[in-house]
Amino acid sequence: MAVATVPGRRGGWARLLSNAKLLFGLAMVMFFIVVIVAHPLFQATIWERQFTVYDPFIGYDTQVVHPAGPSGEHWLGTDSLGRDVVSMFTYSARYSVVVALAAGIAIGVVSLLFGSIAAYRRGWIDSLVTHLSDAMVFLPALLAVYIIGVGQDPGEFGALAVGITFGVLYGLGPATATVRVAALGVMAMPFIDAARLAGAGMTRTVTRHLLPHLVPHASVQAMIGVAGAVTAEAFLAFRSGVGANIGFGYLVFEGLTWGELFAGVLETPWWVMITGSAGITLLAGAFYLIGVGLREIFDPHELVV
Amino acid sequence: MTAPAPAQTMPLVEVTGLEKLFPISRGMFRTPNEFVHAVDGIDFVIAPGESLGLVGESGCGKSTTGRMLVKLLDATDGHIQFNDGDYQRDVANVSRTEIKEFRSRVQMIFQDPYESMNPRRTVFDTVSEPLAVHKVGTIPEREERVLELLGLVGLTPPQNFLFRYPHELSGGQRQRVAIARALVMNPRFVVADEPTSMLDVSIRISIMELMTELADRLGVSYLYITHDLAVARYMCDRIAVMYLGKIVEVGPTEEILANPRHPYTRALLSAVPIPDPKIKRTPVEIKGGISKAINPPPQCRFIQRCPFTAQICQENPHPDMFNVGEHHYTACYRTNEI
Amino acid sequence: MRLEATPEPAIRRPRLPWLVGFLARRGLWALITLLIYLAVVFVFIQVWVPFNYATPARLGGPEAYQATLEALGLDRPLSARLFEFVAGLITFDLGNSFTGPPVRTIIADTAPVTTFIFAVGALLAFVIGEALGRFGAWHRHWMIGSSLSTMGVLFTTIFPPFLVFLIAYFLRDPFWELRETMGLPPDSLDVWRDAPVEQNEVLLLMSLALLGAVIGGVLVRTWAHRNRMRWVAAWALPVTVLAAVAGVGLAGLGVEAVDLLYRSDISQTVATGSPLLVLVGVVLITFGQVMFMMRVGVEDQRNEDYVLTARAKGLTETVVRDRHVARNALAPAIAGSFLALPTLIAGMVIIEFGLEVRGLSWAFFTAVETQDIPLIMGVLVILGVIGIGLRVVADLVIAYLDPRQRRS
Repeated sequence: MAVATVPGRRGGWARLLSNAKLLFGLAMVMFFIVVIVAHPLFQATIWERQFTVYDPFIGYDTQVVHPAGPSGEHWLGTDSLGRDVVSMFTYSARYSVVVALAAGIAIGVVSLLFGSIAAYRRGWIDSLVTHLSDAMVFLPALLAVYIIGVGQDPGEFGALAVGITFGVLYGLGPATATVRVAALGVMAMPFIDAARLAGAGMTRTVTRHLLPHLVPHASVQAMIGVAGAVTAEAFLAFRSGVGANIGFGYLVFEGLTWGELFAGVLETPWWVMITGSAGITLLAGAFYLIGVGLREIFDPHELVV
Repeated sequence: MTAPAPAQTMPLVEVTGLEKLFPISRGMFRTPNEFVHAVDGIDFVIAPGESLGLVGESGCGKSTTGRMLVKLLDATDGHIQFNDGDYQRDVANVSRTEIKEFRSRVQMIFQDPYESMNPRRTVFDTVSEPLAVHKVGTIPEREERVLELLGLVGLTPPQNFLFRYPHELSGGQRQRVAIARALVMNPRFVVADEPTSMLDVSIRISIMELMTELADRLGVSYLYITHDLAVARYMCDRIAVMYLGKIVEVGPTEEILANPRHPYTRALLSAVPIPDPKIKRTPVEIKGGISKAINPPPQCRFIQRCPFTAQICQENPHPDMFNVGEHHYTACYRTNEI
Repeated sequence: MRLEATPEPAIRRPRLPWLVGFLARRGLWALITLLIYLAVVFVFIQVWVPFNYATPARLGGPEAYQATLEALGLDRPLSARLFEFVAGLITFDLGNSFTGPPVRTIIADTAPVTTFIFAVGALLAFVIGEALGRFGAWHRHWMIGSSLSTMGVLFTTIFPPFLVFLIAYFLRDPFWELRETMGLPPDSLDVWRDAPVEQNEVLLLMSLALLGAVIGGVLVRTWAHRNRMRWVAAWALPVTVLAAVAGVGLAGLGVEAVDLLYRSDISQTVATGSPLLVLVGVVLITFGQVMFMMRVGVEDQRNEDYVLTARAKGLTETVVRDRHVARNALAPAIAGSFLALPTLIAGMVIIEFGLEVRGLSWAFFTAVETQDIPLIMGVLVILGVIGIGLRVVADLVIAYLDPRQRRS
């Protein structure tokens, strides 16, 4: 198993590029990065001229009745408060990507740490870690983050905190379980014995021999987890309603709930909700695709049992 | 019963009553009362500079023995004494602080050239790892040493191999790297666990030649584990034959091959199935089969397959070693009659 | 010297079928895991949350913070709270919710619907995902594969509130029109007024009937295969399921059962929360993950030599695909799918709440938003119990499918 993960062994880089899901996911993430970069660019150039119209926070186009549907001026329309949806969308992306980064790193660190040490030490440490990760599977990270986060001031419990919290909780669960099994597989390989014979102790064996082989598995789990993290953050914002920062979740909240408030009086701004939902779904989907694609490349033969 | 080695000086390795029992647990809380007797009380010695072959079929315990000698596995009973000049230790007592010292003197070469090297590390990383662990020399000095060794094992020009990855090497080349790694700290004793069995037949001889040459040149002793008597004949000064965890015959190579005194050794040599109607067919079952000694009965281990079993074999425990020639011992009651 | 030889151990037939030992082992695992889970929940709610939670109050200064903690009962010594928790677990009484009624009652009211949806949803998602995975991987037509993949990914990662919206918008009205067509009165109270049994009892009956049908069908099918009655085997499971449904109907509870699928709360008069629609949502978000697992497994197995052998024996493609390859891929697929459990639970909770079905999700969200600590803990506890129970059942299925797992 380990040998299959070496780039170069089976034309590794070529394989990475040949997987459709992976490419698609990467393309979508690229898109979001472009969006994030585009926002300040647009803000500084096109929207600068009419910042009262296009600012995601205070923009208000006096020419149009709000909420306005998609038009030539406002490609994705405006919301009930007159803010341009495109600028809100481009502004929102950064928030979710911060969550993604934080969660991804947290999941990676936690799963690699626990998984590798459990597999190396065996014995009671392994038992403990296994039972712990088994148990954590039953506590959905999203619900846990929600318990902590609802009602919190988003300044305090911002993207970074949400990401790390989610990452730790998810990382201790399915991610550690997967990485641990993979680590057990690596530990059974003769080159670990050879390292022991050379006199290597735990630190050296884990860092130089075990971890490099586990990083692919941890990456897969991180990607899949990040999809959940991004959704969790958006859901938190969605439920926090008006208290939330402008993000994809907030957009959905606005479109859905606010729209209901004005139903019958004004047109329900479905374009706001759809933009927000599309944003979150596509971003989560992108990471998920990368994860699944990576998994297909790295170990198609090893489903975790 | 110890079978003394020919040399009169202190043996390099002295093994007495070595045992390895693996528990088979049935049920969650019951303490196991069944054990696999992988190694069931063996004795042998290896003199400095000699190579002993440990021969037997799969599952006889030879690999387990080898791993105990290099302390990859802990024995459940018995004694392994390692004497290297001033450094004399009971292997079981080597503490965690002393283990690095031990590992610089006792090494192992593995069977699988493909999986015994970390695929993500270069040849230099792999061979210099013992040096790095023991903090020997600076990086350039380590490079020197590795180059020296690569040349020694026949990988020339050594510079070309220094930063290659395992997947860029052939099986034979990889095994040479494994030998280089085993020798980098100048060990006195190397356990070679079937180092050629996974190589193409055509290159086996070159590896074996290399190992003998190095043994002569560097004064290294081997325990050479193999299932192939022809290989043992080429490589080893003495041969010990193992069956189901016990050594059944031991002696100088030529002597054993010319004059095998144990029925099992004879069978191995003749490579002919034992055509005796008295051999009972053991039913295929989960335990206690031919190649697993689970809670074995006290009689001779070979009783079920031996064409020469007699009353004496049924009535007595597994035989001790009888002297049947110059430094030639065998564990068979009927050795003089067969 | 006579030596009594230890007799060669005979082939030992296990005294009990493997099932007993297996259930005992898994039962022990379930217990240990549950204990650790409960410990995690306790630490999380009683230690971590106060650390994070009362922030709004913290902004108001140390007195406000302290006051909040007191109100939540979180300022008492940890050992006292731990003792209370453990005692509560043992006596099945987790205290009273801050809103008044005992936690136990609230859970008992709301858990059945959610458990039903959870179990049936997981089962259906698995069945559908497995079938799609099988077909998608076997018949290598690229369009089928990629469209299935796309749908799978889409529904797995779709923003749950958005899915709720879609279901409500597109499916709700037709669903309720169907009710009219079937002849049921629009008001549930009319249905239940003369009913001889309680709602939860009907739910229990439906669950038992379904469970019995599945188990019975599988057993009959195994027996039929062994006796080479191919037709019986093929139709066993559908027949038992239909029989179960018919049985419920014949018991005179058909109308009540259908009504339950429409409404979990019979006092509601609006055409809203439908457990069946929640079920649809749950299946949608889960099937994709199962499908992926299955696809990978099948794609992996199809290159094995035994596939060639099977074909050479003259077996049809369908048989090779379903009874050989898929069966081997099934066990790892189930096991792998369990890693998606947290996503399933979270999604289910959101969808159920969004569709206004009065189940555990309702209890959860109201509890969290009113900072109702005892109720939050109660909901988390019961979710853990249900999840672990489901896992044991799944392990049983895996052991049935893969004899190698029976002794582990």
